[in-house]
Amino acid sequence: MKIFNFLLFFLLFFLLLPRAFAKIGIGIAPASGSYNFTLDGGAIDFTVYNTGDSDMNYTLTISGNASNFTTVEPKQVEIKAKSYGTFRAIINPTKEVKEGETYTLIAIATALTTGSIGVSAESRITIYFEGPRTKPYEQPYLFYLLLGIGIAIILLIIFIVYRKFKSGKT
Amino acid sequence: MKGIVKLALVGLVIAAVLTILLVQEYVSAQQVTVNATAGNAAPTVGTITITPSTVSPGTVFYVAAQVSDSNGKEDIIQINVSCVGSGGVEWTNSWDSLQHLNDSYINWTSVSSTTWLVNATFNTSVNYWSTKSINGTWTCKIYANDSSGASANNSGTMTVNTYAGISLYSESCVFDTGSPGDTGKPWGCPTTFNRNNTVVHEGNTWINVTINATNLVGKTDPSWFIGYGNMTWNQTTGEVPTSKQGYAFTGSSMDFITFWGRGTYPTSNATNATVWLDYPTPLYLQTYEGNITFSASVV
Repeated sequence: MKIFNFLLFFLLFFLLLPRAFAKIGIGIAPASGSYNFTLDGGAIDFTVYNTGDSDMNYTLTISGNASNFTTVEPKQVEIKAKSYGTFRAIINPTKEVKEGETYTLIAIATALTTGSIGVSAESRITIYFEGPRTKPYEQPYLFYLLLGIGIAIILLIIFIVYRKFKSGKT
Repeated sequence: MKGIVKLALVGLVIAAVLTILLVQEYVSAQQVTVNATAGNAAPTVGTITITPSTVSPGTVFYVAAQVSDSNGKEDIIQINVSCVGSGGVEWTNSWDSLQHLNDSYINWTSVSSTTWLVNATFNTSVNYWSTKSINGTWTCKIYANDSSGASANNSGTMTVNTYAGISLYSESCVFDTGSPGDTGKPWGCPTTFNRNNTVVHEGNTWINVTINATNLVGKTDPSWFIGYGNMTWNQTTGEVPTSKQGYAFTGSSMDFITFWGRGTYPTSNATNATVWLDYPTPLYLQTYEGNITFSASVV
């Protein structure tokens, strides 16, 4: 049993050794703050830092009550060691959002590590909508996609009913 | 009698003309003197432009202005640029005080015979501009000196974003091997070959750091796992206690360190993390893997 444990230890050790000496690090800016937008929306650029020793992939996820109308581009960024990359949070308020309302946007940057230690950094932003919409509201693409699928299904049902009705007559 | 009068009149006219000429000569001589004393006009520094006006710490920014001298732009012989954040002291070269002293990071572009456009670049390869540089309002100044020692300056402001960040010395740590039922087996973190994984404050303001853990799942047979509650963590300094001391993981984020200051230049604050493992029983003999995650956020 002891010999087996000894072997297991070395197996573990050598499995983890190639990356084990790497320092891992993360940061995000702005990590706090307030932004004013009109109901036309806007964008917030987040700088995500790799303060570790290896090039690594990073993601940015959004939560908070502003997440209903916020998307992030790109989904994932490879950031070189000791360098930084940029994510853009695009704020596109829905019709339900009103002038004078305040929302919270929480952006969490995460390093996609292959080791056993994970790191993340969180940003908490307050968004205030100070002005009215100046451009017509644009429905999200998903809305038009679902609308198209719905119309297609209705037409298909009408077509099937019509065919059945016609075949029944004859 | 008439001839004498005429002669007198002609004499008066000649005297008047001579007087006017002499006065003009005197006046022009005076003008020459005045021009000579006005030769050393001081330079002027125009409006400061900082790009971008809101900057994330450690990223590149530029400070620019038009600098003029009525004696000709060649009379300007030195440009210095400083940027100072809250609490910083000018010309001290630290996290809160950046500078370029007439160096190659200041680009001079000719605009006219009397004016330069000067543009200073600040990045992490020079000075002490880093992620730890203080957040808030910074004041940047451009100083122009001419060959006669006359000088001028102008200033502008920018905003440096808050930054929350951490780094850990080891990306992977391995628990000491044990038999089912063994308790308090500490992890080893290969970077330092000891029981500590050093956590470094990389931010520019006060931060909180939380810790969380997943179950350790069997690599060969994932139906076997070691629950996160079998691991105990603690913030350690110096020697690690021989027996486990700290807090069992709960499956949710727990405060690892709160209200953590960034440190005093040039030292970043740092602390250590140690985790101990209790081997449950029964336990299938295999390699188990999981994640322990540290997360930073602004206080």
